[in-house]
Amino acid sequence: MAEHIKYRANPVISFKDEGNEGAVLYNPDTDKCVIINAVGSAVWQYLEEPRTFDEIIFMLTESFSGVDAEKAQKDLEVFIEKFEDDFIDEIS
Amino acid sequence: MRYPEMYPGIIPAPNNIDISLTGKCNLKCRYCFYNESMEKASDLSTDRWLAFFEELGSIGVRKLCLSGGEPFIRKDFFDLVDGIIENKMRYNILTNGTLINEKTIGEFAQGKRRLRLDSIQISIDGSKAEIHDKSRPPKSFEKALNALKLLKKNSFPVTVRVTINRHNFDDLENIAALLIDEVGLNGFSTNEADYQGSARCQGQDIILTVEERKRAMDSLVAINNKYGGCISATAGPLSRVKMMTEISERIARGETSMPGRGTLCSCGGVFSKMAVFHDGTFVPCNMLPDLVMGKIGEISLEEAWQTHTNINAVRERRKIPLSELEECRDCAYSGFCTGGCPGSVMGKTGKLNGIDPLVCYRKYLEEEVR
Repeated sequence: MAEHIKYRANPVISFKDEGNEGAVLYNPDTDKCVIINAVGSAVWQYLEEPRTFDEIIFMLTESFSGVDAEKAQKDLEVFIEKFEDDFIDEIS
Repeated sequence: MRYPEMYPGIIPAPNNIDISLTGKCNLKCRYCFYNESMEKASDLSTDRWLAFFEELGSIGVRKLCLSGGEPFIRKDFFDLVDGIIENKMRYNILTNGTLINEKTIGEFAQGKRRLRLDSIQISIDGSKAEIHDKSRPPKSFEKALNALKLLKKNSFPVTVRVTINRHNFDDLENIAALLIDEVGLNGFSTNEADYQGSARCQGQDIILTVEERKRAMDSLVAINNKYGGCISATAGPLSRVKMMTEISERIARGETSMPGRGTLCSCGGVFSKMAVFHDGTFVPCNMLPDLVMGKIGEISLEEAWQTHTNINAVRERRKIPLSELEECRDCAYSGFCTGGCPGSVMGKTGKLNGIDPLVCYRKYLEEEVR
């Protein structure tokens, strides 16, 4: 992941917090809906402001016990790849 | 927020809501589910609707179905659409089509009005004015058909609903030719005039007799075969004949029941959607106007959805085996039935936990023998 790239929650997305069960994201422009778990929900809310990949990794390792940087990086790469088209904006 | 007596397993807020934006209509269709007593209540103001849409967006509602009355009769119609878009929702429209013109098409071009529109459904009930206009004022057919062609020409996601009644049951082949061959639609949907709203007052003047329904069923099967199955139905004669045929086939194979049947289960709408009338009254469904669940300003939609006894009563129906109902107790086919739409049941019988005779397989067999 390039260091200068920042990620931001697509502002058009409807976010429905389901507490410990995670959250529902809905893109009304594309009519796509996904369910994310509690960690994904935390990442999503953190992306209200543009963040770099490393900033997100740091947030995850600080906020969730038992999550090391290597695992966080793998999970985050999957998360971003999965949601980049419809739910997450990439800002260069 | 979750309320203490939240119905078990229910999603925290409905995904979809049917909204009657107005009780006013420029037509008075003879089978409309809105009756005169409902029309007397005042429409909510623009500001009240916009504040309500903000509430819906905040709890994650995704789609609104806008109807009335006639939704395009509201001067602020597109302000309301913009409120829906602003609050991160999509929408579809049910309309008689008569107020749609080139100016309307231009209005849709602004912002995300078109992007967020799932469908716009026009009612067409005949292949010509003499038939379509029997259920509404003169010149309605011409205006509705013009709107349909205009929307089609401009590539809108336009659909058509044909409500089968005493005036059009023998015109269905011509209607299919008009909509599919002439206008160029891929298909259309059908239902039938039911004991709701205005149709309840018109009685047998508009609602199909047993013989007429039978002819409509035969006709729709033939037309659907001719057009490759592009006519759809979730209720009415086509839906009925499909359901009865499936039951007959299963019985012929020696089956005694079907998965998910045998209780008052119906469409399941109350687990994902609810409805709001033009004066802000919450109901489980447009077809259940007597089961009021409060009103905008009196109770939040979220609380009504999660806890109200009237919507919970409809949800509880699925736990009632048909074999417990007096009319089904001795029926060998109860394992195949669902009891039908609770709105139709209430309209016909006045009670929620009864069955709609139109979905009764035993009754269907009696009609076939007759």
